[in-house]
Amino acid sequence: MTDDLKQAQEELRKAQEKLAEAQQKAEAEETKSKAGVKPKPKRKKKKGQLAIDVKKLRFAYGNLEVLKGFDLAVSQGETLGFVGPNGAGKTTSFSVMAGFLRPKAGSVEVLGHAPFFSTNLKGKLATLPQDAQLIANVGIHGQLVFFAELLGYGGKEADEEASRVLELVGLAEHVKKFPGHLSHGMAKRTGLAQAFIGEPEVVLLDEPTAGLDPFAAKQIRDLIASMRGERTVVVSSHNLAEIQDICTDVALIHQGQIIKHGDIESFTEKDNQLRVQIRGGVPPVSFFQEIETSGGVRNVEYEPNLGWMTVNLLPEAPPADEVIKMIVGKVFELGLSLGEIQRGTSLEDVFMQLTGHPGAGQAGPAGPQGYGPPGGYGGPGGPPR
Amino acid sequence: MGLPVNLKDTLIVTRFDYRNLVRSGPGVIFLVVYLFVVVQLGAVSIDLIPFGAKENPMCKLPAGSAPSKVKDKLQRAIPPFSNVSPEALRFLECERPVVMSVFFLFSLFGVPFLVLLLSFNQVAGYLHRKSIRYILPKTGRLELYLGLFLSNLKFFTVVSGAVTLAVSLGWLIVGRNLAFGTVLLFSVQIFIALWLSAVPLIAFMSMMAAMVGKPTGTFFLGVGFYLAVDIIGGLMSRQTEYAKIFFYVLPLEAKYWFAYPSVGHFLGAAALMVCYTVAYLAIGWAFLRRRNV
Repeated sequence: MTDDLKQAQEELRKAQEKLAEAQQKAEAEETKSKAGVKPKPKRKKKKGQLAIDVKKLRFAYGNLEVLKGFDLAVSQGETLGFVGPNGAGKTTSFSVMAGFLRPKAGSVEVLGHAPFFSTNLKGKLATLPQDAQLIANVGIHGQLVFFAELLGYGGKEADEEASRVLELVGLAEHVKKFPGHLSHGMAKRTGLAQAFIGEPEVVLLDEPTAGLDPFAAKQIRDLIASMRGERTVVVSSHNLAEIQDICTDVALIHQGQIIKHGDIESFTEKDNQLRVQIRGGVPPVSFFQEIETSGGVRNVEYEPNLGWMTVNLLPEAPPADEVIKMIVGKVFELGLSLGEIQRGTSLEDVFMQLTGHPGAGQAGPAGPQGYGPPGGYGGPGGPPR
Repeated sequence: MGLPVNLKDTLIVTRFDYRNLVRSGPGVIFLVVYLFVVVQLGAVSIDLIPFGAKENPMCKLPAGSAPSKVKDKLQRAIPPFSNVSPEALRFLECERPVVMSVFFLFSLFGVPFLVLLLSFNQVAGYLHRKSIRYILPKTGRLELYLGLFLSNLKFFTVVSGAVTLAVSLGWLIVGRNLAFGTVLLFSVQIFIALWLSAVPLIAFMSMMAAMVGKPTGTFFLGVGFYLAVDIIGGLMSRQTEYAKIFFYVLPLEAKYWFAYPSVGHFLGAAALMVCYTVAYLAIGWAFLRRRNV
């Protein structure tokens, strides 16, 4: 018994270390090495100043209305994840914000200028368009030199800048290649390279990691993360874990409307919800009842297949760390073990719920229910699907 | 108040696209067809070489009363050729080196059409491939539009200049009793006339490219429109002289003013070509500036 207790204490200590490690992860990312990135003077996020201001934006392709009058305000220095299902209007929104498409109604301002008609955004706005092709007949280095020259770099400087951005996206060894000889991923990385020329204040990246191998995708994610706070970055992606990983804020677009916009914490309810994966067996009902009756807990839900327990907290709840400590202690007292611990729900769950996806909550840790068996212990039950 | 266009950016676009054009399909096609036609023309004109202007017995007769060797050559090469007045023909045949006169008239007839083959891509290529989306955050639409126009013009200038120079030197070598100064001045006149005739057609294709947005569509619509004006204008002008006004939708008729001996005709044609160019570019720009890309 003493041995069991010691083992449980050891596991508890490990779990606490794991939690501390997870908390430090975000901070560590911000101070991540910027090897290969040209040192630039840090721009402080200018609170209250908008980098992008969209008001009642409408756009239609012929009779098909794609954007239905949404508002969006992106502060300077914000890293915004732009997410939504296929056909929601993400790429169209990007194209309007980049000045490629003219709004049918409403207004778009980037750094105070209307991007469609203004040339004042030269060098301040950079974009990675989703479906643009590189210029035929010209090597990728030559194209980047051309772009750098347009941004004001002189002959040798332009050459060096082109080499720098190619190195940044891992294409330093392919400078002599022509667009026709590039794989999809390489073409995408060349497209990204042109967006990093100079020092743009606003960077719009439409699915920057789509089609990239895991190594290249990580490289790009690190690059975007390294710009956090220095530049305003808007990233669209279907990889919601990626958005959760690199963005400070999220806007969810659905059927041409922004249906939710806020910081990641408000999306994932980081301080309102805890998710603990319990392994080694199903805890008894008393376990859930004890947690539920401890102070500051609104209710407890349990999904037995994968062992995920969701604890919804009240505003007056003690700090989440303390609640986690309490739960972990109780789990080990039962002789069970822990899988993962999450603070808040995943962006994917929120996405599924808000977009009314038919598969919402049916897979993975999503969609816990009341912890009691059907018609059983009278648990509070889960949220309606 | 500064210029509404950034000249530095325009010239960067011109330089970049010019290098691109040399390797591109339209550039190569233009070059090959142009050189092929010039060589063919040389072969057709070979029997005119012995004639110096002063040795041509026809020149002693009143204008229009004698058969013209130049016209004869041109009509064999270009059957419907009939746009040059007898006075202009007589001047070219009797006062200028005759093979160069054939080259001049033939070039006035054919080169503007060849220009359509060169310049159909322009902004249409960038619009169709959406490469324009990489460029626009870095410069304005106007700079891109004008830069591409200028690169086509530069390419045409280099090629037509080189060809005119080669023909002039060739004629100096094989021709007899011709003053270097006469040939030089005439080749400068030919080059300027050709250049001025081509500029509005490059602008015309700039306009079509901005309106259509696809290279193949621009090519077929541009060439089709050119041929339609030429053919319909020709047919209509057989019915009534007033129908010739139809030709003036494009610089089809005005270009032959360059063949007249008078400075007034030359300057008038030059002014008209400038007007055509400005009008086409302005219409194209009106489309491009509001176009979704």
